[in-house]
Formats: sequence, C-alpha cells, structure tokens
Amino acid sequence: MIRRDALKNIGRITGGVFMLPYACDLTPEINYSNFPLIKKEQQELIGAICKRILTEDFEKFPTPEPRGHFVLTMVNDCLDAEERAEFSKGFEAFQSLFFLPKESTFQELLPKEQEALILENLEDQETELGLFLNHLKTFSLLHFETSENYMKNYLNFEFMPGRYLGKVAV
Amino acid sequence: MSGGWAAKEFTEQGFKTLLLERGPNVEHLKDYPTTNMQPWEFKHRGRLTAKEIEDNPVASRCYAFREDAKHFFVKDKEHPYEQVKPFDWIRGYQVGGKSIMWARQVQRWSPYDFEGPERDGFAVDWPIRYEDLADWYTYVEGFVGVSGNKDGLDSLPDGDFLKPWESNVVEEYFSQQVKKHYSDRHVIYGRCAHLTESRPVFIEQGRGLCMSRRICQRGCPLGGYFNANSTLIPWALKTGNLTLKPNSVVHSVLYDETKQKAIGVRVIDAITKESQDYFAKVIFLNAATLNTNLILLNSKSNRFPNGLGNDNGLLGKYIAFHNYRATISAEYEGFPNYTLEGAKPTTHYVPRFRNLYKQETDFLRGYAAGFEAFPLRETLREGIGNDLKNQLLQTKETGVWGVGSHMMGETLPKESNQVSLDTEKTDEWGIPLLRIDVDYDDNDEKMIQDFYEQFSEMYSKAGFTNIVTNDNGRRPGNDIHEMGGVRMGKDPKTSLLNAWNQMHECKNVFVTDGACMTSTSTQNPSLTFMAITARAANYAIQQLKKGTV
Repeated sequence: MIRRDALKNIGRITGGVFMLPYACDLTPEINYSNFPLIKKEQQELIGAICKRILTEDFEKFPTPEPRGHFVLTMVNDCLDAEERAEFSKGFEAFQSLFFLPKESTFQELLPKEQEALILENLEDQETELGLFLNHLKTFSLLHFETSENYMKNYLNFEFMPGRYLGKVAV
Repeated sequence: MSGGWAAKEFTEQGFKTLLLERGPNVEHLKDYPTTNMQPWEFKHRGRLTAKEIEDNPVASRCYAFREDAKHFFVKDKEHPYEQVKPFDWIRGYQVGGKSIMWARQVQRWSPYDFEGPERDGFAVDWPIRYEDLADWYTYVEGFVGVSGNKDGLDSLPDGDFLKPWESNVVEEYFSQQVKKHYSDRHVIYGRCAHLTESRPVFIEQGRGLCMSRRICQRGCPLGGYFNANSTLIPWALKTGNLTLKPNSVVHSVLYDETKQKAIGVRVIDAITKESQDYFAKVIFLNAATLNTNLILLNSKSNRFPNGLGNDNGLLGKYIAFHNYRATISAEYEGFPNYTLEGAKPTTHYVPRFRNLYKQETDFLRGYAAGFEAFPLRETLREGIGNDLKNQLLQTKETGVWGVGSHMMGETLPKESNQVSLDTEKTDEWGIPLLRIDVDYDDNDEKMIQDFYEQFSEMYSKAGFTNIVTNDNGRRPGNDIHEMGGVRMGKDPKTSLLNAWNQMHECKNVFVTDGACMTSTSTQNPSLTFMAITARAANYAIQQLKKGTV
C-alpha cells in the first residue's frame, strides 16, 4: 500500500508532461496511425493493463486478435481527436506512476497490486487517468463480449437460426 | 427497386430496354463482401471509426450505416447537397440501389389512404383509388414474397401472403389487450418481404428461404429477402432484352420540340466524365425520389425552361416524408417463465387508427407504429479482473420483458417543402447540387404528442411499467421515405403526372418512384412504388403497342 502511494505521488509530480518512454527498447511493434510514437513496450503495457482489467482466457474465449491490439485499434480508430488526446494524457499519467523508480514497471507489481492501482483510478472519471482506464475497460469488454464462445454460449447468438420460437418455457 | 420493376415488365414483354444506374454494379452473391462475416470478424466489431462519422455526418445517422454495410451507402463528401433546413438524404448509388439495405416492411395502402387528401383538404386528390392498384399489389407480392397474416382489416388490406413467423408471448398478449380495450385498434404481425415458403417462382428466381440472419443490409446469399439484385435484374437479364449500364449518371432528359416529346437522356460516365446521349421511345424515371426531381429540374429546354413538364411551376414542390421522431419503451413482468429461441426479421405492427374514418383530433391524418417485445438480459460489469469476468459469465435473462414502439407518422405535403437546383454549385459531373428545403410543422408536433398519450395509455392498460417516451430528434429524411415533388393528380394545373404516371406535358416520360406520390400515408412505401410501377409499365407497353406514345 505504501509502495503504491509512493508511486501515485510520483505520478502526481510528473504526470501529463510528455509521452514517457516506458522502457528503453524503442522498436515499434505495430503502427497505429494516430499514435505513431507508441512503442512496443507501451503496447505491451496497454495489453497488460487490459488483461488485468478483464482476465483474458484465450483458450476458452479465443478472439481473432490479442486483447491489447484490439483495444489499441479501437482507441486509434474509434475515438475522436479530443478523446485520443485525453487518452494520451491519461496514458502518460499512468506511466508516470512508474517513472522515477526506474526499476519498477506495472508488470512487476503483484497481481493484487495491479488490480488495486487500476481500481483506485478507474472510478474517477474526472481525471484523464480515469478516462484512460475506462476506455481500456470499455474496449476490453467489447472484445470479450464479441468473442465467438461468449456470443454463442452465453448470449445465445446464432448466425443462421432459421427458426423463431416465441413461447419457450424456461 | 421501382426501376428494376420497370425493366422486368418491359423486357418480359419483348422490349429492348436500357437500364441506367449511376453507381457501380452489384451482382447478387458476388458483390456482398461481408455477407458471411461473423460479428467477431469485423475489425471494429461493427462500429464506425471516428473518421467515418466525421466525414459522414448524414449517412452515419442512418441505423444501417455501420461497419458491415457502409459500402452500400453514399458518402457525404462524395455526393454533396445543400441543406436549406436540416435534412438527412440517405442514398445508395449502385445497381439495386437501396433495395439492398431496405427495412423490408411491406404494407398495402387502404382506400382511406388514397381518399385522404380529398377528404381532409390537403395536397390534391389522388387520380387513382385502392381498387386501381389492388390487383397490382397482388401481382407484385407474388413475385416479391411477402410473409404475413390475413388480418381482415379495412385499414390495411390483406394480400397474397406467405406464412408468418410465430408471434411471441408478449406480442400475442399485447395484441389481445389492445383488442380488449379498443374496438378500433389492432396489433398485427409486421408483413415483410421475406420468403417463409417456397413457390415455383421463387425457385425460378434462384432464391431460398429466409434463415432469420437479420443482417439483410449486407445482401443475402440465400435470397431470403427481396432485393432487386437477386430478383428483378437477373430476371430481366435472362430475357436477353436488357442492357444494364452501371456508372451512368443521368444528367437530363432530352426533349425534342418538333416531336413534342422526350427522345432520350444525356448521361455522364461516372468514371470518365464523358457525355453520351441515349435514345428511347419511352423513358421511366426511377432515380429515387429526390434524384428524379433533380433530373427533371435539370431537363431544361426552350419549351420547358424550368424543368421538364414544369408548366405549372410545381416540380420539386410538395415533398413529404414520414415522421419517425417519437418512440416509447416500457417493461412487462407478466411472463417471467417464457423466453425466445431463434430470431425473426420483423416485429409487430399497429396500423393507423387515428382519424381513420373521420376527423377526431386537432391534427390531420395519423400514424402507424411498430411493436416489439424481447426478454431483458442482465449483465453486471462492475470492477475488474476475475470478478468482472465472472459477472459476464453469469449474464442471464431477468424474466422481465422489454417492449417498445416507434411512430410512423404521415406528414402533409406542402408547397414550402421543396427541392430546387443550386444556381452556382455543381457536383463533379457538372450537375447542379440539389437544395433541400424540408421541415416538420405543427401538425407533426401535435401528432407526436398524441402518439405519446395514446401509446402510454395502451401500454398502461396492458400492465406495462416504467413507460418512457422519447423524441429521438431524427431529421426529416432519416426515415428514408421522402416522397413527392412530381406528384400525380387529375389536373395538369396542380400536378405533374396523370393517373398512369405519365407527365401531363410529356406523355412518353413516366415517373413511378417515390417522386410520384401525392401524399405519404403511414405505410412503408416501397410496395406501393412497386405496384404503381408495374401498373404504369404495363400501361406504357399497351400504348407502345398501339403507337400512342
């Protein structure tokens, strides 16, 4: 808890200044046209946060693309310019939580610590950090809820039902 | 789809026919790129990108302009127009037009609809009555395939129907409740252009039964719903009498002042921009309501300096549409132990009951409405991590049903609701931009309030709770039922077309799409456009054979 508070305070001091290099490998992995500077490690960080927001289970709920890539695609393509700017600032604020103690990254936190950090900031939609996390949650949910297994077996989706029964006793 | 009907009738009866389409070809099966895609296969899971919304403020307000079908819609920037007042002009520029993406609801007009303008003193009297069109409705329904019940209502005549899908438990309940409380109101199965039974003509068309996929706007590989691409166009091509020319933008109708009739059309190639004239004995204009108005307004000659046939100055005026602004929703807890299986491509329908037999309100005419009922599902999405995932996995139906209706209101054709040509701006084919000056009026506002009151009462009497009314703010045009501007009528001084859809002043030009409509009634109009077209085409064929046009 103390560690998290410390990280949070550091974030408050440094957050929102610029797009922080989250790690030293500057090789881009996938190019997102509206986020040309986002680096491989930052993409991985987004993926890690999304998986912590909504547990990924690729074996049981396979999707055409990894969670992080889907979420970044939606952020890149479906948020308008103002929302993208807010997202970027929120992402900077999130990264700044880990900036000064160089040795620490989000992925290095214990799962419980990761969850606590996200939950603490998720509820506050007044801040850019909160908006950033909520965008990740919204698109993570969309990714999961449109997965084949979930649609077919939990939402009773049928691509070609060929029938309509209107009085089915439960 | 009315153009496809004209092509079918002429080619079937041996006439060499040229079918011009301003957009590209769309071949049934071959050109439905998303038709078999699963929801999870779409990059944005069906959503539009922010850029698509920004670039298409009009088209993106259409319910069907989404990731799976956006390629069938006109993009705002590519085909601009002038909005004197806010108007959403939703268009589909391709062979088959909007018949690919239409809502497939098909109801006949009744005698009360054709008699409306004369009885209530608006617009002009229709030159035809229901009896003139009844056989043509039957003719069209037999080729289209219409699923429905024979309801025996004089306000919504029965037709040649295929069997309906089953009603659900709440639809049946509401229908019974309305019958119990009101002698003049009915809740019936929504008649739709889907095949629920096979018949020889559908087999000949190569169409199969509807499988309730409910993604019709992508084009149906089964031919389960009716569109021009799967039926009319191949049917006409099969005769060997049809020449189909996509990418052909009709600029104007050519008028020969010596012969005192139209002799053809001027076409701009959509791709090369080259101009070419085509000649014909008879011309059917079916460019979809507002573009038909545009072509006629742009068809200027010494004889008709203000547009073809426009001696009375009324061309482009008396445009009307359907008012879809009002909705109502509620919940019903009466059938907690029932649910649904499968899907169907239609909902229920409440035919017009207001002012049907006599004037009874402080507004003219009335409205129809849809009615749908579905089990409500509860999915909690609190927190994060495994907790969140477990909530998603526990999604369940609550036992409560959601219900809803939307108003389909008749608007009154008025001279002030009109379209005209911009005097300065042109599109990239050199054709003047259309200026659209159409709006709601007080009659529409009063009708909305009445819908709220009447449906709130009907819902309350049925025991529905949490009733919420809503004005969705839809702009005129967003209903995609714009009509008029080249209206039919008895008198050349007050109308443009006669009872056979011939231009009063240019008898070999026929207008049979929505532009010909004298009034709009409340029904989805496509079935009436098709019936009017088949009737007019067969009349034109008779006249051609007699040598009178």
